Amino acid sequence: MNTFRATFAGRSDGLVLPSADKEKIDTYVAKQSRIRGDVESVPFPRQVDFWAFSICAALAMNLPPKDGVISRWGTRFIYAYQGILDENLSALLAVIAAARMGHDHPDVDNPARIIELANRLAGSGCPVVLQKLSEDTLRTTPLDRVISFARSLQDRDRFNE
Amino acid sequence: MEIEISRLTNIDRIAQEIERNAKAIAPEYGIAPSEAVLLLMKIVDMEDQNSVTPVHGINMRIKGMIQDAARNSQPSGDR
Amino acid sequence: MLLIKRITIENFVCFNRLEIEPTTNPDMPLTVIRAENGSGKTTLLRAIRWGMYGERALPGNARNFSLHPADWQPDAQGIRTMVSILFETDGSSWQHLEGQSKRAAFELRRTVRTEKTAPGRSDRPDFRRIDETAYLQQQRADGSWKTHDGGADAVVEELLPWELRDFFVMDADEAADYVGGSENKTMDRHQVIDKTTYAVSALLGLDTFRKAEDRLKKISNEFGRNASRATGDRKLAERQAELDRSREELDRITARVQSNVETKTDVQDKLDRARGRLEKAVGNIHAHDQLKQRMADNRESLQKTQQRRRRALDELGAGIFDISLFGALASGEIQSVRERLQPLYDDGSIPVRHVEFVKSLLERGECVCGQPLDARSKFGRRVQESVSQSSSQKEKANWLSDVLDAANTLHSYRDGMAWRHACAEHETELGDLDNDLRELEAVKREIDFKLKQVDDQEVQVSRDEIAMLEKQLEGIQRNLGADDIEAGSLRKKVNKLEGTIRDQQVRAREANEHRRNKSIADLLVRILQGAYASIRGDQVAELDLQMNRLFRQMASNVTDDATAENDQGKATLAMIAKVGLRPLDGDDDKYEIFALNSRERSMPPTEINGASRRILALSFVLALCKASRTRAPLVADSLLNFMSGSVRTNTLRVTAETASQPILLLTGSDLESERDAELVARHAGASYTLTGQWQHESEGGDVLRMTQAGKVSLLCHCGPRAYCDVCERQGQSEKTGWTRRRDGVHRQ
Repeated sequence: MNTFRATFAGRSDGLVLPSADKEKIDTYVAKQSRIRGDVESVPFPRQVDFWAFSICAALAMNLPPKDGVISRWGTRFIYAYQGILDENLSALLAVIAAARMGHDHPDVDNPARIIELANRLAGSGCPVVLQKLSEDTLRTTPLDRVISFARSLQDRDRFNE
Repeated sequence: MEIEISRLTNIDRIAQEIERNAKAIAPEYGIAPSEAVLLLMKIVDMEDQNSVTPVHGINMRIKGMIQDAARNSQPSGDR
Repeated sequence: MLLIKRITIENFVCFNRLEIEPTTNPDMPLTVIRAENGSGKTTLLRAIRWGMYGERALPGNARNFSLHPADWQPDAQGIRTMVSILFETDGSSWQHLEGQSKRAAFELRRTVRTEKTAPGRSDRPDFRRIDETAYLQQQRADGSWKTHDGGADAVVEELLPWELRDFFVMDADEAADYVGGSENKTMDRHQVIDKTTYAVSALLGLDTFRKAEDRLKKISNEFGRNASRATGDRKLAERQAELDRSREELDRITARVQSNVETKTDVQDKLDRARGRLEKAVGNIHAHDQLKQRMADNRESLQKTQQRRRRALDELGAGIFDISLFGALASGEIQSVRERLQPLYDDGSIPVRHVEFVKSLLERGECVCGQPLDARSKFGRRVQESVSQSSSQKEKANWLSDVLDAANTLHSYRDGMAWRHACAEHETELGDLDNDLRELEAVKREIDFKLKQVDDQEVQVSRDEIAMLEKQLEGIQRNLGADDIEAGSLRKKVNKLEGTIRDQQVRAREANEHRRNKSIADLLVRILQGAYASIRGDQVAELDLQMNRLFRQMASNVTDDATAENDQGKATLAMIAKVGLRPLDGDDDKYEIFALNSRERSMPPTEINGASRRILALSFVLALCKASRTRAPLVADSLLNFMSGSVRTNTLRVTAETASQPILLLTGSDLESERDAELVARHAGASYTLTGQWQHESEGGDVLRMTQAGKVSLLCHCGPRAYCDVCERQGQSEKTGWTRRRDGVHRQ
């Protein structure tokens, strides 16, 4: 499966999150990935982690990919060629593309289209995630809330199934 | 040996002269003339014997006699 | 005082047995033994000398001199010669001076055995003497005899020194040695002086004085040396100063130590009090410490627990971007992909596996079923077309195949159980850790509370004080240690110095004693010197006068004619104006006899005739005996030889009156004159006549009777004008004034 990571690592596509949510996103993502801050209040060590979680949240909630010209609503936080995508995430993105586009879609193996799809899913999942993170209930931390949200998403999945 | 006979026939005169000199000199040495005479006569007699038959340890004996005399007397200055 | 009481002679040359009892009567002190020349006078004198001195008294080569009787017939037993001298002494010594005399009788007995030896060389005697013994017996108060402890020879030497033999047993010829020798003898002057000096020194005791003085001087020097050696006063003073310094230093250190000990006590007290305050402040100083320790432990536990919680949180947080969560959340898409692609995989669409095989069939031109696959056949063309299309789809198909593989892999996360378990574990751990932290916080609060009860400021003050005091105490202790070492070494030094000084003081005391001893010795020397000077000065002067007086007595009424001598040209008695004894020029300790003429010129002995010399010598002997209170026998032979007339009479009289116990061996001619005979009769307490039997008429002599065969000499009691059967000589019976005696014949 090294192929997927290698495929994306050779691309200049950027990973994008909604520009409007940037400030909020920054609240939950550590500024510097190497210095682990307070995990409870800043659960995501990197933007790519928040990006991936948003994609998966969108999938679990069956949200449609965000429409519109991506550059108009989104901001690139990193380039794919920076190797930010690990093998597991790269493979998952390929599987998602195959599922959403259909295996016979001509762009099913097109990395640009795959990342685009992922960016659009992240764009739709991001507000929901931020919403969940900001639900300030008593004695919960952003980490508690994101885990609770993740657990509820799975329950939803099982329920859906 | 107990002295019973002596070669010193002149003994009277010797004793007389020793006594005379002892009386004149001994007091300034803080010693009784009679003691000096006795001491000297003993020494002279021992010397006399020694000239005939060596007296064993004559020096030590005479020294001992002098020491005894010194012990039994006090220098005139100490009195 | 020494008196001979009896002389017994056995088997001595011409005497078989002979016994003489000299007189001890002080009123008649003279013993006369008359004997004609050749009758044995000299042999008698020799026998007495041998009895006294042994072999050395024999003349010439003593070994060759025969003591045994001339008529001895040698046999195997040999012959025993004996001389016994019985004498009496009053025991004069310093211990019993005059008036305290202790009369004692002694017998000196000397014996020797003569054996015949085999004839040897002609110059060797045919006899030898063995076993010579001399022993001295002393008579006890009860009259019995005991052997004297002193030994015969030593006592003889004490009483009758060999060197003074001429004073006791005088051969007048030898006595003349004091004045340069007898007529036919010439002596060196120094020999004469030595002999005279010896006699004077010995009889006056000057030699003993000299020896005692020398010894005392040596002893005094020795004491002096010892004193000097023992003194060391200068060093003593130095050491004393050093000791004082050391003691002061030690006192200073001791005072410092005392002060430090006091300070230490105070500091220790302060320390105890500060510790007390601290304990009071914290309840218990140890409890406080324990609290602090617990706090530290608690802090550490908190830190560790917090670290563990952070790790647990990290791990929990990592779950939100873990593939196990993503796989579960995307399970719908994953499942969808699997459902769509699995059939394609199953039919070989993905990946494209058959195209290569079909290509190989096309190249071969025949299908597996046997139909031709060439371009000319329709089947062949259709297959060729399919292969071309398949090749263009190949990459996508492989992609999809990979997607399927990925979907299959991700499918394992579809239920999210792995993620849930991991999350649950982390959450449980976090819960536990939170509990721990709460507990630790609670403990911390409790400890904080307890610690807050303590007045930190007061504790700190006490602690600071304690630290300061402890430091101070440490310093004092250090100083005390250093002082202790210094004091120890000083104490050692002080002890050593004290020991040294003690020793030196002891030595100083010894030095004082030595000095005192020396002073006593010096005193003794001075007394001796004084006494010596007196004796030498006074007694020698006395001797000098005495000698001259005696000489003058013997020379009185003398005319030159009276000295019947042939030595013409020599000074006669009448020419001698003065005689005496004088110290030698340049040496006060040596003496010589002198004779001066009327012009006071010194007359050398060689210028003086024989009779004068004898008289001179005799006057010296008699004067010296008198001056030195020597009361001893004078056995004299040949005394009156060469004398005649009044000289002979004077000499005989002076000798008889002056000597203590004169025993004179005289010839008949010595007693020819009536005066002499009277003199002898007046002074002689004992008279003997010695007659040599070989002078019998039949032998060409004038002895009338041969009373015993053999050439022996016989002794009888006959005096100067008497004769008996033993001694009668021709013509004696016819002489007037002579009487025959019939009793008291001594003969063997």
